[in-house]
Amino acid sequence: MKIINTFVPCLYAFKYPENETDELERVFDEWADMEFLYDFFVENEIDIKTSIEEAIKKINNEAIFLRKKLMELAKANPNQLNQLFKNLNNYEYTNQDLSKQKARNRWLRLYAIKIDENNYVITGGAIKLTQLMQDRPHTNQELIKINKCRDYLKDHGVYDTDSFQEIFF
Amino acid sequence: MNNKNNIEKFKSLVSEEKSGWLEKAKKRQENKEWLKHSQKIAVKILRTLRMNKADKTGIGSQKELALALNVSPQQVNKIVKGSENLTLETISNLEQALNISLVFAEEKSSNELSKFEQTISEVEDLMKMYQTEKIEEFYFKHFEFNESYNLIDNYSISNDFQINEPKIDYKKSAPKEIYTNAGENHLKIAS
Repeated sequence: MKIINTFVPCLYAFKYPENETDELERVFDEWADMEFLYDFFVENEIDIKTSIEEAIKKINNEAIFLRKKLMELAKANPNQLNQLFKNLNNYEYTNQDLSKQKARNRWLRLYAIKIDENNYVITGGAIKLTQLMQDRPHTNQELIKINKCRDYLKDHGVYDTDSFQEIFF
Repeated sequence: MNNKNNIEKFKSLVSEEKSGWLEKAKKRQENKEWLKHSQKIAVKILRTLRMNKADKTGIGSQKELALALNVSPQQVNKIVKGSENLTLETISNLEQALNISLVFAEEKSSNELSKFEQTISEVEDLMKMYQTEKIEEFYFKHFEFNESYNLIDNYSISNDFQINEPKIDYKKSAPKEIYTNAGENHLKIAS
């Protein structure tokens, strides 16, 4: 397990031994891979109300949007990551945030652990089609990864200030 | 726990290895226009392969497609990922092998054609309305309302915008000079 610098100031990403790329690069590769997306939506067709083609189009658009946001942040000084990440567990989400998110109905998520006020480390990402992460194996897997990463950090004497973070855009 | 100490410990864990994300992000941003086409083609190929496999007709796997195209399975896999800048030759070969249409230019021109047809049809309607108004104007001027209304109903307008005469014998009841005047309006009803 490695922690990699992502070029976005104060944003790091885990790289797991079984993967060739860090989690930020890996999830964006997946979201640009039509074969992966096609198979994913065939498997999760029950959770979408549109055709697979429309669902893929939505992912493409969201990935472009999120990529642009992160590229802007890569140039931003001082870092503005706090605008993007919200804590799911300590009510950092306001009602306004939630209703905004509901209205936007975005599917792509990045997950991260907050190290201190400014620094984040990405543990993974997912296409979240259901309300709870526990609802589907692929999002539940992300929860497992977050806990593994937290344990790794603890083992090395690093304690996260908050619970895990979910990107909000 | 001292925060400064915490972040220092964290930073000491950061590898010297750099993420390839930014480089890829820039490339995707630069190529986003043709990538859109490549992705659409990939999805259509994937849909076709899946349908063929289910129906047990035609090419149903990437391996079979590779054989039909005489390329490596790895090459086909790159195509279905939607990140290949495909040549027209490759697209044509894919179309022939899978018996589908992938060229978006064709779709665009057919859209344009249907827009054109729609416009023509709107113009036709307007011209018909205009001609009808002319006939109405003419007959309202010279006949009683009911009579003219019936007469107008019996007219038809051909595709070349010529107004065809009614089949009924209305001429008996109309004064001769009116038929002559009508000729000026291309109504072809002059005796």
